[in-house]
Amino acid sequence: MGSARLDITVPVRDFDVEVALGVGAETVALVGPSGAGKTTVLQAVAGLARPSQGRISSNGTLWFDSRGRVDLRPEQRAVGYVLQEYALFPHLSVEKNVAFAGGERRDLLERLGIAGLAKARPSELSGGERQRVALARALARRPELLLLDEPMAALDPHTRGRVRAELRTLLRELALPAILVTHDFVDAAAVADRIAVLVEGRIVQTGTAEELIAAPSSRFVAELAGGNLLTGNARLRVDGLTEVVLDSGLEILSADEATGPVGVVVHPWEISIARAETGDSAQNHVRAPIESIVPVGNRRRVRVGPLTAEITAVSAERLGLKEGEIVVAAFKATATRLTALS
Amino acid sequence: MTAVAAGVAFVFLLLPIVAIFLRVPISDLFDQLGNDVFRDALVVSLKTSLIAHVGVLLFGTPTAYLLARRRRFFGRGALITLVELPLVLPPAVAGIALLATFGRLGLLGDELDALGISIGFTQTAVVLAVAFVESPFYLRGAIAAFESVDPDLIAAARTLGAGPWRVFGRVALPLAAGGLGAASALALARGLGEFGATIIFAGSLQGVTQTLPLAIYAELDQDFDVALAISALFVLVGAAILISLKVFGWARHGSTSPFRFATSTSR
Repeated sequence: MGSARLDITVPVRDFDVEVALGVGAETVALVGPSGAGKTTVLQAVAGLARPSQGRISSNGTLWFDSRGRVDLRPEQRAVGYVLQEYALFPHLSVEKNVAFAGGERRDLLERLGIAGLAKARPSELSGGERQRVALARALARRPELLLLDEPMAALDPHTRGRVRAELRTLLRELALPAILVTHDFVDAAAVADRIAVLVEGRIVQTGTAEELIAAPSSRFVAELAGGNLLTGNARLRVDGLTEVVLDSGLEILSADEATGPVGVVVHPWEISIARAETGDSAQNHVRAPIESIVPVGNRRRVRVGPLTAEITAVSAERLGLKEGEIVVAAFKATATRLTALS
Repeated sequence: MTAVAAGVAFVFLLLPIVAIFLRVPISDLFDQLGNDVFRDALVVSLKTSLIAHVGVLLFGTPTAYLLARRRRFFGRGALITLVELPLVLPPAVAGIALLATFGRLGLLGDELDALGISIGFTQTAVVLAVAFVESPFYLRGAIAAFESVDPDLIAAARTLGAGPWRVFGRVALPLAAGGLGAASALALARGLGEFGATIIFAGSLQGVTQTLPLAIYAELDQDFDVALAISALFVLVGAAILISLKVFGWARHGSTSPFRFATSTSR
């Protein structure tokens, strides 16, 4: 089982990228907005950018140490780097691209399902095929550590879902330490075991996708993770529940304990929609007009006042929901997470 | 208005070229090429241009690669300007500069003298003059060609275990080949036509330093038809070079460039 450790400071134009990260035989996603320094981290690990200080090691071997003056050249580091947009050699066939790291690798072409494309040039391939060639080429290096820079960004939405699943399966099978960079939380959640959120060169939170959605440490993480985030002031009630007066004046209840200014996180799929307030067990009801209905696969994302609910297309049809109609969004106090806002 | 201006421009540029072929029937024109002056000049020109050109490629290609790859170092701009300087210098000034360096009374005159080397007015002088004048043409094109190679491809090659030589040979060189070929052809054409620096630094001795352009000048008083014939040859060779650049898609901005998709996959 491999492992990699980095603890580095890399100066970029406006700030320093300061990242400390340990990666076991797992996939860690670095998620953040563009310009956060995600690619810089990968470049530093690959030896293409030079940290001003820190250390990088893989399987116990030092690749970089600012104090010990170790700085292996990129060609000496056993990394498999899938660059943004894949950077396939346009003048070489698929086969030759993969063989670039040394020797023919029929096994990798077979494994990634691109054996039939061996003689094709990169310009003749689809986005998904290019990604597989880039992966095969990186694996031909026999890497100790995989670096993947936005591997899904160049794909159209149709292939994206399938490619995510394939990539996840492949990474599980390889059981190599891997760092995946993406700006898309859904990609990260689908492929990675753990997610580190990078903002302006700092990791602001690390955890599983579920942990980040449930307990985001900041508004940024909450919005990135895609849960509903409302803000308000919390106080404990005698019955053990917490009452939060939202900034809009609305009052809601949560089973979490908190006082003072808090963020309220509710997953879209925890919210149900009804025509009228019913005698259900949900403690929280928000009456508001429907602002939008967005289809997402077999589901509908329905925006009701400050909340986004996710319901099945079937339910939406049965209720005959239309934009502008007033409905009630209901969610349980036990599904209402409170998080201290920084 | 613009049509008239364009018409004037075309006529002004084309008429002199056409005139070369109109004065004497083409068949008579090429009979002149049996002439001794022409033959000697052709041999001198081919020999010196070839040697100079090989030298320019050998030294210029790594220099251009270095300047293209290292985008940020102190004095890069100054260095590139310096390299490009011969481009804007009158060739006569280049000749004087070479004379002041390698001539008997020049900067290195005593040292060369001590080694028993005399360069002025020899074929070596022609080679130096041609190389001096054509190298900025090659360097400019070659730097641009290497700069157009996507740095991500170089980075990818390095992470795949390729050392500097392999990166150069397997990635940078093949991907820059189109631009390098174009730069090389233009530099060669410029070298073949070199006149001013050569006549000052190397003189115009038939069979020794008299290149084709110098022969045109020499024949001007002797036999105008020979001068015309050599000129016609230059027009044909020049046209052939330009056409081959277009046909092989070597010109960097040509719409037929086979490397148009070289850098980006799906932008």
